[in-house]
Amino acid sequence: MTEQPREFVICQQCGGKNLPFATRCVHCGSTLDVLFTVEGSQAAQAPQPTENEESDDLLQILENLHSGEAFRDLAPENSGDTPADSADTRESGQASSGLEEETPEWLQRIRQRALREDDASGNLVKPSRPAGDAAEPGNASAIDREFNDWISRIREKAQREASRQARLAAQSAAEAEDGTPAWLRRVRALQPGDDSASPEEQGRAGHPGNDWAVEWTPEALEALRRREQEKTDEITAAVDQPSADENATLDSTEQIETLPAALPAETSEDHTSQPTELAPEETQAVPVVKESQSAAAEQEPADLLPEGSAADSDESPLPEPATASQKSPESNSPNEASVPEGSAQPTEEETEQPKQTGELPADLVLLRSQQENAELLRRLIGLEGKPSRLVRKEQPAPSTAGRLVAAALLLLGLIAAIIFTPAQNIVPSEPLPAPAAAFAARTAQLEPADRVLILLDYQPAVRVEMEQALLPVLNRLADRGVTWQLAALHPAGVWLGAELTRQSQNEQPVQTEFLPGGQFTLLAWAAQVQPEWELPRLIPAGLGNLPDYAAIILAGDSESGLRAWMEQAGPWLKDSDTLLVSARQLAALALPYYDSGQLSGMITVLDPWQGTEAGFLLGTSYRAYQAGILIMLVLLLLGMIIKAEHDANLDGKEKQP
Amino acid sequence: MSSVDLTLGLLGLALTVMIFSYVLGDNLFFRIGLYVLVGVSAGYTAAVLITRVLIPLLVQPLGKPGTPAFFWTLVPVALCVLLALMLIPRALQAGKFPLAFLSGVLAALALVGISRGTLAPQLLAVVDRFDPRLLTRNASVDWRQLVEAVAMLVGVVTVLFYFHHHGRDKQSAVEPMITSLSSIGQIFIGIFLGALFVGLYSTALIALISRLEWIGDFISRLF
Repeated sequence: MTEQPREFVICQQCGGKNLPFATRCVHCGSTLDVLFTVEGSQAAQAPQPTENEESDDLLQILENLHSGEAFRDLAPENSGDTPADSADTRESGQASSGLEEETPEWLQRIRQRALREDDASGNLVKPSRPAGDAAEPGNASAIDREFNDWISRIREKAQREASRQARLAAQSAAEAEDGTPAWLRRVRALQPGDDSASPEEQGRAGHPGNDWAVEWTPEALEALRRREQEKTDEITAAVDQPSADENATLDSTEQIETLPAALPAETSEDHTSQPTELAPEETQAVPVVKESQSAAAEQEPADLLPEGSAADSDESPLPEPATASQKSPESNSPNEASVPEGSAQPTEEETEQPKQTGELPADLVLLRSQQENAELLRRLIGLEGKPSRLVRKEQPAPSTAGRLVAAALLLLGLIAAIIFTPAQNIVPSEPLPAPAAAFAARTAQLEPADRVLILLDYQPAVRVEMEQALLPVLNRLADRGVTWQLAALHPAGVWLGAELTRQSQNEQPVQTEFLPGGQFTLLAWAAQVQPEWELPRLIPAGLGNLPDYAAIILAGDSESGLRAWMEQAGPWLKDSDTLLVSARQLAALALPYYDSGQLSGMITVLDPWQGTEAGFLLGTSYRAYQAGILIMLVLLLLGMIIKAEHDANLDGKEKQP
Repeated sequence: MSSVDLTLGLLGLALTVMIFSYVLGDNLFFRIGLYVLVGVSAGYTAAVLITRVLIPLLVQPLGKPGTPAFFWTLVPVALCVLLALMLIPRALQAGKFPLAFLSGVLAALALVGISRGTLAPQLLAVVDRFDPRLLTRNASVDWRQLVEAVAMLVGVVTVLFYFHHHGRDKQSAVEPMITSLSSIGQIFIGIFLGALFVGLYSTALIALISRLEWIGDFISRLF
């Protein structure tokens, strides 16, 4: 969208890039010696050029500036480099000493005068270096006069701009009585269209201003500039009403001011982070173009009119700002007298700049980043007060004290139940659940010659529960003379099986085998996949073929282990019964397998399938279990009541006006 | 009580109290107990895998060159090497081959296994519930069995409707009916989750009771 100038003028002080027609560095404010240096040198070489010759010389100078010839003249030791390269080398300090030695006398005088006039206009205008010091005595007075006029114009413009800003601030303060903050008014002022509509209303109505804000187009920006300029001109005209001469002078100076305002569109990459207000450095970049335009206007006013600026003035909502040279070109004649006629035939782009920029206040010229920030701010304002889906309602942090009280209550209840409960067996009066009854019936059918495989698939954390459920089973199998073997699907099952064997009444020690491979091994074992070639036996030698077992008892606590068995090995075992000794946390998930007939029976630690033989149901443990369940029920009910009361209070607060 | 039992008992008591300290929030003692548990479990698992898997199934066959077991063992060795190459960033792609092999085989096993081991048997169980032989007793309708069968069928259908709820046409004419069915499905899901919670709490409670009993027994033996 923007074009970056192909060449820059490199500042000798800071090495920063400046536009080709800049006389001051926009970064450090130092003087760019290029233009005046060449002018002065040429003036010294050709003391009395004719107008045509001077015009040709100036054109050549400008071309040299763009092509970098002038820089090569200044730094002959770097003659083979481009200006940028020269600047780089100067920046590195390698050629700085050589430049100082070869600085001509006229340039030193220029610098001395610039130092004497340092800060002549306060903070707005940086020290300027007149070119007349280096010129011949005949040209010195003209150049000095030009320089002084230029300084006076800038100073006058600065004063006028300051007064206008003060009036605008006063007016804004008067408008701020409705409580609208200044930043919000500024954002709203950036919205083209109805100022009375709030940003969110404009956003809902699909106002074109949104499109402008999202898609920054030159046309939309120009329309905004013109509207804002109309307002500003009305305010300015109503307050000041300057004379015609003042208007002419001010127009010419404002023409100077508008050029830097238009520059960011061409050099946005270099100025995107700079404020919109005209920096003093930026104002320094104006006079060259202004001179060329004024000189051209003096010579050919009609030709230099921006396209449509005069003929199309009726169509334009703005009084054309570029009329300074049109209204009274003679008013600028002293200033432009030193510029040869035709020396600066403005290009089409230059002549259109006044039309594009107009007399815009500097703070209304927005950069892309500023527009994006303004759009972001407008959205934030629009979202103010609205509920957001992304905003979660902050939950109060769980109280440590409450958790401590609940835990203490549970522990005290359990300890009390263990200590004070009489040690007597609990024989539930209810009949056995159907899965436990089926388990008891199937184990009762086992014969002494049968072999039973017990697969251990539980974690050490539930070891006590599983052992309490498994030990009665092992004891019953031992009583009936049934041979049983242990296999573990997890490495931890090796020592769990050893511990289980140690506690059982089995006289013969049983080794727990480990089955690596998980469900792969189960599938291979159930399907009896055995290659013809000799391979390391994946199934330990102590274990037989899976279908040869009369019953397989799974001892598990996880749904994944149960599913792995049921899905991989179960379909292959038509003649073997699969029984399950389950942890309590698996019981609910295992019931569908029992209903579908895939499990022949299932027990948990709380099923008294052997009556008084059930270990966990002996005395205190079961009482403590009942106490723990009771405490949890109480806590749940209390939590539900407190939560309901809390929600009711919140609803009551929300309903209150 | 021997000194070994006493030492191990005190150590177990200390670790138990450390884990219990989580009641006060995440703290140093809880972390120490947790790290000890994880470290011991990992070490024991590694020992079992080395002694019962790697040595007999991988190392020993490689010690018999020329045998079929030797050549077939080269396959898992190659896969292991490829997997180990994932530690080198430049050879990261090589490790994808054994992972892809495992993923493909697992996916195939899961697909077939779920079909044969879970979906088909349990769907057939729902249908078999309406077998006239099960619904009659003494030449009359067994209302209990009938209610169970209907409840099971309604539960399965409504839960399926609940999970099919998302993504359907909101403007459909059958929308109210589907919404009602999915609402009923939520009730069954709530019952299932409640049963699951009770099971988890029961297991945790039994573990806690067992530890409290062990601590009481240990202290009683000390004095």
